[in-house]
Amino acid sequence: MMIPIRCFTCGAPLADKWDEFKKRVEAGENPSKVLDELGVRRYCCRKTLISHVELIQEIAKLSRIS
Amino acid sequence: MEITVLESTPTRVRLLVKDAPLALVNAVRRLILSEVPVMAVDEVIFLENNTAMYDEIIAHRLGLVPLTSERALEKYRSPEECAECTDCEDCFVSLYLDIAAEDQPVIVYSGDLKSTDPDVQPVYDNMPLIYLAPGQRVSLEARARLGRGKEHAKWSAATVAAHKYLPVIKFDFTKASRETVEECIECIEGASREIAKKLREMKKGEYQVLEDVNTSLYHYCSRTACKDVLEIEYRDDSFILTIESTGALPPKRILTEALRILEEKSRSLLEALGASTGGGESS
Repeated sequence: MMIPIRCFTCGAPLADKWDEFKKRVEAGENPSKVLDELGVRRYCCRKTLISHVELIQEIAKLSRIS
Repeated sequence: MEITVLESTPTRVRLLVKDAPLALVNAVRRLILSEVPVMAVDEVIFLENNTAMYDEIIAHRLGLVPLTSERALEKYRSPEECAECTDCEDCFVSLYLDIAAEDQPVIVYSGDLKSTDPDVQPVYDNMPLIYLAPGQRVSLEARARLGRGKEHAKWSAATVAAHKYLPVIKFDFTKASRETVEECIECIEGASREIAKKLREMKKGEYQVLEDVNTSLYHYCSRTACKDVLEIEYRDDSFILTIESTGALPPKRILTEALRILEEKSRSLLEALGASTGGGESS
């Protein structure tokens, strides 16, 4: 839904890197290079950032049942 | 025992530990992961939340946010005293959040949390926590305390604490044919160009792999292209210990804290043994 705060597998903080990752990849940079420069080394963290789809904007339109 | 720092950054450290028993290095590794205390949000009181995310999801996300803990280790009481406290003095730090989105969506960041103690704050202030659509509001009080990794991974001071035996490449290019050497070097270049270059220059001898590379490929090479020319061995009395911090504590502090806990535990074990043998019981 939103970017995970930490990597599911190893627990390294990831959410702090999301905004920059998204901005740079959308500007056309190579995701692999951006991850290297952000210091995301392990493939568990890399796959979490690469494969993340931000769906919260869509879900937030629906009201909550309480 | 001899310790050399191979790499040191604010969140990561790699140490070469020579002439140490495996049991000791492993004890330190385990203590780093499960015993070194850090601050993390443990309880969240929701005053209002009409966002798309349930209270529990937000509480979980808040719990995972790393909080600066270096000063907190002295200021606050131990996890054991605070986990089930009745008088919770010097246990909790409150972090407040009260944000409403009016006609534009708002992303709440970790930096929006207002802490009652400047020593305990989110390490990174740019973590997206909550998304507010227009008209939505969230108001909460998050209470953080010291805890240990064995209770929940959010209290683990390190994301990586690992050791491996020191890899040593033994090789002799002088007796092999030129083609074999070239083929062999091409194979080991797959793991690291720098190491391959150094081996080519050395021609013969032993090379300790202190670089942060995966040595699995050298096994493959030693069986194929480098047959009878190169071998890889592991020194079982020397270790490379890697510690990667979440940012809550500097890696150096994590290590000293782990050693202090090890000392404490050893002492209490000795005391317990002394008490039982001193009692005159034969066993």
